[in-house]
Order: sequence, then C-alpha cells, then structure tokens
Amino acid sequence: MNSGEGNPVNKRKLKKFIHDVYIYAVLLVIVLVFSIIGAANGAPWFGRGHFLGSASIISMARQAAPIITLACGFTFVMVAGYMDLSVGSAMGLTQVIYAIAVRAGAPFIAGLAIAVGVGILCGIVNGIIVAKLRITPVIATLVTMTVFKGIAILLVPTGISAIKSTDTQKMPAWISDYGRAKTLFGLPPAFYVALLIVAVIVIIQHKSLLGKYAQAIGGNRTSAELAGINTVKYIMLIYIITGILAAFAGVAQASYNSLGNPLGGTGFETDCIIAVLLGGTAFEGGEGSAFKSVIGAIIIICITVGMLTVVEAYYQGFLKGAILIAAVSLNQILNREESMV
Amino acid sequence: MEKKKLFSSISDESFVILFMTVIMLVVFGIACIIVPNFGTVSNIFSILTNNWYLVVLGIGATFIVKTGNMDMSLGGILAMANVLVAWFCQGKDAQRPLDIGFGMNFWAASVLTILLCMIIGLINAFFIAKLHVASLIITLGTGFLARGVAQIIAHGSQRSTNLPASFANLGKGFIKGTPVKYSVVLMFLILIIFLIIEKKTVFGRTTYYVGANKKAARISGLKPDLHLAALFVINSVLAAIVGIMLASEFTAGFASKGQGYEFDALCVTLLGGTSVSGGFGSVIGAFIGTMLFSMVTNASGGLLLSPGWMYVLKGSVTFFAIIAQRIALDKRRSMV
Amino acid sequence: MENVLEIRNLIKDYPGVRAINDVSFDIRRNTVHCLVGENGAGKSTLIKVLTGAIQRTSGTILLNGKEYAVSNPKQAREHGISTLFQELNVVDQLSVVENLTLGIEDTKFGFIDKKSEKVKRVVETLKGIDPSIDPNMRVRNLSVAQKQILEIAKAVSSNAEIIIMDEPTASLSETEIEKLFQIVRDLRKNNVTVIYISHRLDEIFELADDVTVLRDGRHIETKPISEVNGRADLIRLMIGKTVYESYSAPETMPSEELLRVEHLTNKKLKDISFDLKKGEIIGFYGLIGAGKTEIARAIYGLDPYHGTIWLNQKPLKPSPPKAIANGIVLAPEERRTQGLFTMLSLRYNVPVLALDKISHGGFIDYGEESRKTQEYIDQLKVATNTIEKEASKLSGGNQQKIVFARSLFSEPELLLLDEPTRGIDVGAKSEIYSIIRQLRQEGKSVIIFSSELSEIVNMCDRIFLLYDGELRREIVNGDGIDTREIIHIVTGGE
Repeated sequence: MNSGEGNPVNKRKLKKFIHDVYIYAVLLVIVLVFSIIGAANGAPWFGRGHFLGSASIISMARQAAPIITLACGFTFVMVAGYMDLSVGSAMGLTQVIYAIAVRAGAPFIAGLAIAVGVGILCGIVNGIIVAKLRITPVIATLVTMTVFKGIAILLVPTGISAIKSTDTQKMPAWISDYGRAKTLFGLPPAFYVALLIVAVIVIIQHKSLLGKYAQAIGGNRTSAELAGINTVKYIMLIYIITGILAAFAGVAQASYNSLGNPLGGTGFETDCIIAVLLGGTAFEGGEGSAFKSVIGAIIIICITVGMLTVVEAYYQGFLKGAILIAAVSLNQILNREESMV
Repeated sequence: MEKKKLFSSISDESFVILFMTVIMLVVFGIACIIVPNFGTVSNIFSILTNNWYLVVLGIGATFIVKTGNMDMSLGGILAMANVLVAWFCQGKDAQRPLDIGFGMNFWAASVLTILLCMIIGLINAFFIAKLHVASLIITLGTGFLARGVAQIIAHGSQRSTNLPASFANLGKGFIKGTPVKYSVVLMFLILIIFLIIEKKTVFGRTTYYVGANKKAARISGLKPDLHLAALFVINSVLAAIVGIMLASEFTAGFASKGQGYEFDALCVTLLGGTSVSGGFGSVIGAFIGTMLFSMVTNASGGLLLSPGWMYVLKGSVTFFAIIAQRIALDKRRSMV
Repeated sequence: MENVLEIRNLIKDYPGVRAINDVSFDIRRNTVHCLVGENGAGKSTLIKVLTGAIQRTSGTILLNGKEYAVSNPKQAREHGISTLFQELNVVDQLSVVENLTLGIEDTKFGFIDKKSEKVKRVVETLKGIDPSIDPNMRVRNLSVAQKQILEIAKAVSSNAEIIIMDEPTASLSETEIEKLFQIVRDLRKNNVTVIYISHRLDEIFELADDVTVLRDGRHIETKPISEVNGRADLIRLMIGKTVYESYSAPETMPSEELLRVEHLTNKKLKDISFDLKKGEIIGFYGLIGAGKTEIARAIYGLDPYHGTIWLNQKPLKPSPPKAIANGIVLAPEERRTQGLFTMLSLRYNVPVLALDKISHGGFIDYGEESRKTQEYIDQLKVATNTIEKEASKLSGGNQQKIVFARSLFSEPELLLLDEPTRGIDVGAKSEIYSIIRQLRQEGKSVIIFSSELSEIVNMCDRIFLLYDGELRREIVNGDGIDTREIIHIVTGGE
C-alpha cells in the first residue's frame, strides 16, 4: 500500500547508497593518486618519502588534529542553517591565551581549561548576536571574527608576531608534547584527543536533543518552533560548541608550533566549510553527518600535504579554491538528486 | 508637525544614509578633539587618498549586497589583477623567472588583465545565477582561486622588478599643479557613474527590484538571473581596476595584496546603510561608510594604538552601526 | 458537556471590511463538523481566529465551557486545538518517529530515550491510525497523504480535542481520500472532534455529522446533515439568491480571435482548450485547486506545459518577458509576495512592467515617470498623498489597486487577473469593475480567474467552469443563467 514497490524504491536505495559511500570513494581515490605519484617518484610503498610512509602519516596526523576537531562540530552550525566565520579567529585568540598562561607557569590542564573557557565566551557572544539580536549569521560572525582577531593581536606585545619563548620568558619544555610527542603508533596526544572529540560529537549528533533539534531548525524552523523547541537556546549551544572546539584546535596548534599565534586560525573557517560540504551537508541545512565532515577534513589534509610533493607551496591557494568549487559542485549534484526522489 | 512631514517624504533608504552621515560627522568631531592633527587639511586629504580603493570596492559590494548576495572574491581578483598587470608589463629580457614579463604597453596590459579577471566574475555568475549556489560559498572559492593564480604567477611573493618607468604614472600621478591624485579622480568618477546608474537607469532600478523580491521580479518580466550574472561580472571588473591602479601606485604586483579587502568592502557597505536582506541601499552609502571606516582606522593610528585595535574598532563600529540603523528605522516606522 | 466549542457573537473586522459578522453556533463533541461556504464567506478567517493566528475583534469562544483566547498557534495546540494546513508541518529530514516525538522527547542522562513509554505510545497511536507507515522511514519519502496522517497521529498523541482540517483532500487520490475518511470517522471514537472544511459537497455528505453554512461573513445555518435535503438544499444555503443583477453584455459583439489555447496539459491541468476574442471578458470559476491559477501561469509562461497557445493566430511560447512584450500581463493571486515590491515605493512599483515607456536609451525620465504614475494613481483613486510611499504602507485594497495600476501601465491587450478583488471593499471593487468594462469597450480582453461567484457572474461574457483540473462546462452569460447549476458543477457534480 505504501510508496511503491520495485523500481522507485530500488532507485531510492541506490541513491542513498551513493550518498553514504561516495566520500570514502573520494578519499580512497586521493590516497591512491598520491601513493602512485610517490611510487613513481621512486619512493617504495609505505616506505620512506612515500605518501603512506610512517613519516608522512605522522606529519599529516599532527596537522590534522585542529581541522578534524573543528569540522565535526561545525557540522551542527551548517545543519541548523547557520554560519560561523569566527572559528579561525577564536582559534587564534584561545591559543594566544593558552600560550600566555602556560609560559607564565600554568600546567597543561589549567592552560587548556582557560582556553576552553575563552572559547565558551566566544560562543556565547556569537550566540547572543545571532540568536538574540537576530543579526544575519554571516555578518554577525564576520564582526566577531574581526573583533576576536583584534583582541588576540592586542594580547601579543608589539614587535613580535606571537607568544613564544623570549630571553626573559621561556616556554615550558613540555609545550610541544601535546602536539608532537610520539605516543601510540607514533601519533601525538592531540590527535587522539581529536578522535575522542569526534566520537563525542558523533554521539551528540545521533543521540542527543541537540543533534535532532539542529536538524529540525535547519529543516523546518516553523515546525520546530511550533513543537515548542527553544530555538534561541539551541543555537546558543551550537555556537558554544564551536567555541569550545576552536579552543581545543587552538591548543593543538599552539603545541605543534610551540607558540601562540593570533593569526594561526586564518582560513580555518573556509576549511571547515569545505569539509562539511564535502561531507554532504546541504548548505541550506537540515541534514549532515559529523563523521563525514571529518572524512572531508581528512581529504583536505591529504590533498594539501600530497600536493606539496608535486608542486611548490604557493600553489596551495589555487588548490584550496579549486577544492571548494569542486566540493560545492559535488554537493549540488548530491542534494539535487536527493530532492528529486 | 512640519518636521514630521519633511521626514515622511524621504524614503527609508535616504533616511538611513542621512543618519549615517550625521554619525560620520559626529565621529569626525570627536576624532578632531581627541586625536592630534586629525582635523588638518592634509590629514583629511590623506584619508581620502589612502582609501579611494575602498570606496570603489564598496560601490561594487553595495550593488551585490542590495540583491541579497555577497562577493568574497574581491580581494582575490584584486591580487590577480595586481600581479597580472605587473607581469605583462615587465620587460622581456631578463634572467630570473620573476623578472621576465611580456613587455606589453600599460594600457594593453590593463585591458587584457581586466578581461582575464572577468573570467572569475563569469565563474561566479555561472554558479550563482545558473546553479543557484549560495554566493558566500562560491565566492570564497573563486577568491582563493583568483589569489591562487596571483600566487602561482608571483611564485608566492611579488613581481616588482624590470618595470618601465611609465608603469607608475597612473598610480602615483597627480593632476598637474594640484595635490589631487589620479586615483582619487578615478574614485569620484566611478562614484558618479554608478550613482547615475543606480538612480537613473533601468539597469540600476532593476537591482532594486531583484533585491526587494526576486520572485516578483521574475513575474514582472525582469530576468533576475541575468541581472545577477551581470552584477558579478561588473564587480570583477571593478576589483580588477583597483588591482591595476594599486599595482601602478606601488610599482609592484603582490600576491598578498588586498587580503581581507572583501570584508572591509562589506563593512563599509553595511556602514553605509545597505541591508543584506536586499532592496535597500545606495552607493553614496559606500562613500559615507568608507569615510567613517577610514576615519576610525586613521584615528586609531593617530592615537598610536597598536594594530590590534584597528580590528577591534572595525568590528565594533560595524556592529554598532547595524544596531543603530535598526533602532533608527524602527523608531521612524513607529512615528510616521 | 455536549458542546466542545461554543462561538458567541464573533466579529472580526479588517480595515474596510467585516470578515466575520456576529457569528454564533455550537460544535458538538466527538462529531465531524463541516464548515461550508463560498470563498470569502469567512471560513478561513474563523479558523485563523480559532488557531490564534489572528485576533478576533469581539465575541466569545468557549472551549469546554471555559473562556478560550489564544494569541498564537502554539498556544492553541497546548489548549488541544490542532490544525492541518495545506503547508505540511513536518520536518522532512527526520524520521516518522522523530517527527512524532519532536519537542516532547523523553531523555535519559541527557540522551534521547528512543525506547521510552512515550515513544511506544506514540507509535501505537500511529499504528492504530495507519499500520502501513514505517515509523523509521524518513518523512521526505512519504507521500502527501501519509504526511497528513502523520500530522493527525501527532495531534492525537498530544491529546488534541479538536482537529481542524482545511481542504485536506486537495491533493489526494481516490483511495487516499477513502482512507482519510475512515481515519476521520475513527477519530470520533478517540474523543476527538473534527472541524472539516471543504468545497467538495460529496465529501460533506459522506463525512459530516453536522454542517455549518457561512455566507458573506454571516452565519446562515447549523444543523445535522441528516436534515439537509441533498446538494440543492446545501447550495441554496451557501449562495442565497440565484439571480445576479448587474451583468451587462458588451456593446459590440466580439468577433476577432485574440487567444486560442489547445489541449493545455501539465501536472495540474487536463487538456484545457478554449478561445478568447478581442473585446471580451471571460472568467474561470472553480474551487481551490481546480486549476485557475495554473492556467494563468501557463499562459504567462511561468509553468511548463504541453499543448499550444495561439496569440493573434501565431503560436506563442511564452515567458514573462515575452508575454509582456506581446501585451499579456498577469496580476498574480499572491499580491504581497508576487505582485508587488512591498518595500519599494509606488513610483518603483507602478511602471515596472513597462520601464521602456518612461525611459530613453536606458535612462529613466523621472518627470514622465512621476506624471504617468500619478495619472494611474488618480484614475484608480489610490489613497496616498505621495508616490514615494512604500507599497507596504498601503491597505490591502489599495495595494490591489497598485497591482492593477501596474498592469494597466503597460497598456496590455490581454489582462490575466487572478483573484482581482480579493480583500477589497465594495467601493473599490466597483471602481475596478468599471475599469475592466472600460477596457472591454476599448477592444482589450480580460480573463478573470476567481473563486467569487458573484464576480464571475457580474463581469464575464463567457464563463468556464473548472473542477479538478478539467474544463467541465462553458456557459454564455445572460438572462436565465442558473447559479445553482454552476455550483453543482464546480463541486464535482455532473
């Protein structure tokens, strides 16, 4: 009695299958491409100088920690139909404050806690401006992006570019441990913390009210409000989450570079958008997968690191633009298909 | 009673621009008091001269924002033009790759540069007008792409060598005997042209229609998609012109030129009263907005504040302007 | 309590028009209570007051004997009154269960408890209504009928006492309608009262326990359906008098063909063919969803179709710019969202269809624009002291006049008017009617798409009756026209 037997249902199942699986296919293709290039250049598979060699993988994992952390939470923002362009600046602000605290003698946990506190504040500010004052999210987060960046730069004494070891004050010796130390499989703690965060976010998305309500707000806001959902509260929560994640990403980056760079997060908001789009979230919101966004982030890392073996560093900008346009096109195709079913 | 009638006969748009002009004058007054040497003729002149490009970018941004869209590729296109025109004009005979160019005449190089930058505008137009992709996202992408072209051609840095002396004529030149630079003249020219277009032509009028209600525009037979496409291409031309002038002014093409300019352009557009919801706003606002914006940044420099303050002020001023505009409009609507 | 709802002396005024005029009646508990009346009778306004979407001007409503007054639909829901609208209130991206529990989830340690008693109850309710819907299916993949059933289930499981259904069968198939009827009947057994609004008289007779007839904002009658003597009796109650006085035939009989439509077919329309002569006014009359707007949109080029359209004996493949260039203009049904630029001034709104008339070489002649715009504003007696005023600041009636003004501005040969006098007071209506007749006098043609019978009968030389996308009858206007017959045909009769 129900919607069709045979052909339409099978077609739909096929489309769903493609939608679920394409991103792993893309990842596989990219890994293969760079592996083959590496092999063609003389490096043995999984060996020295190869894309899949241990040195390369460890390097990628270290660099991937921030973007993976950010991208999974950013999914909520786009699923709900909103935008947060300030994540990069929040990353800079939190890592500067972390570096100051740590250089002044605070232990790692305290420094991290302070950074997370700042991240929460950033999220609250965004939430108030967007949800309470109802300023368009793009404009609102553009404003906060600028202000956070300004504050971060102000915290760094004039003359130097970042909070780092000076003649009078030294960074503690353990500063780079979080982001670089070789623990399990040679990967740094920051990487495993990032994986943990991804797990938490994925659980939140599938099992909590926040995950469901983000979809409701993005899918049919009127219905959500009619059902009694406090949209202001949940939008606030979403921005607070991105603020917290920006802090974790900032601390990871600070540890990787042994300094607090106020401009360290520049461009990360674009990377987040690319990752989430690659993961299949429609720009208008309503659906999305935090896990697939993380795969999208990994794809970005693979491409940027992999391309470095082929061309000069100054091709990166062009590359990022091309990837974003490709992600947008891919996203369009996927979501157009879906809505036609 | 008289005042009420006076106020009610001007449109909301003019009201907001008037409002922002008043704010600008107030800020000017405050700055004159607290910043040493702010109110001098030479300082005012330098504000105008140093920020001419922002007015031009703001003019283009105003048209785009009026339709409810955004163009984040301005900075990238600017950089692309900046580097391309330098590359085209560099001499053909040289050793190192960053010194070699095509030895073209400046004007020919400019035309070619503009044409190439229009390709970026066309890509924007295609995705936004044809595929209906959100303008924010796609222009972020084309912005990177355009800047990427600049980075590739300049090998990540700049092309500043082996340029003919005449290259700097337009960018550094003054009207004979006056302190008025060609770039300022260009700015006023573009401002007047686009003001005329906005208010007096069918094309400019169509921007209002498309921005106010795209569906109604289509039903009224106006072809909104084509119009949007045209706007993005025009915007790429404006960005290219700015890039070329700046290359001439600094006698160099920098791959990093114009970083963040698209955000600044958006800020001055908003400061000028243009609304992102569309159908509302004038290029005069872009001028007022730029004056307000650059006064604030100039003042912070004059007060010897550290560079971080500039960003804080930029963001805060934009924020307060948006709120103030909203309150002023609400008050007006409840009165009239 | 015998009556679940009691309405006493309800009045709702809009500027210039009284939409609900001292209406009083009762709705008995656990019945299917049908609301009937022509368009403009006040049915939707009454529903909007019940759901809190608009506020009444005066009068009392008693829900279970207690005063009932809400200020928004959410409150109405909380009081037990749920409504099924044309725009479905579901989140496509979530599953059936997730929609049913939206906003009322049980949580365990901060996570959604997907196995709680509430979930079981809600799924049971759904199964009790329609066991064939898979609770885990994504709502996007459900049909319109299934989504409606989902909304019903949600209302029932949130203990709604009254469920209001506004034209629910508009997009359903025969079998789906049968299923819906069964569900509606079963609802009574679950202590739910259904208020059912429909124009399809056959449905009324099949479903109703009681029926209330409204006409021109007034309450005419409320009685058990058993006391109604068939369709004719119901129609009589709906439209009152059968004779309309003010039709006048054109001075010269129209003879030259202007427009011919052959086998117009698309998603909604089924093989529509008709012709239109110069200097003629024709009208399309039918219920909501009969296809009126779709015909207008097809001719104007807004929707795709199969079939041919001939204009002055030449085939026309329309698009809005081409239509306008060929002298065809459309005044759309939704004036605020499609017909006007509400945030722009009248100066901008009136000339928009013919900007070339007031511009030279792309440059607008402001003086001529002001002059011409003022002309039309004066001609149509629009209440405004300046043309710089934003269109949003005018009343509904004056806004419609502006839509008219802009249509006339382009000096068209053919006007497509979709609900041209909706929400306009009597004075403005007659002004517009005389302008339409004037156009006919000048040899122009007009097609009126309307759901107001008196309008169609007063104005049109020929009347086309639509039902469910089909052209059922063509009637030449004149003495002896039987309005009851018309209602009979457009409500599905043979």
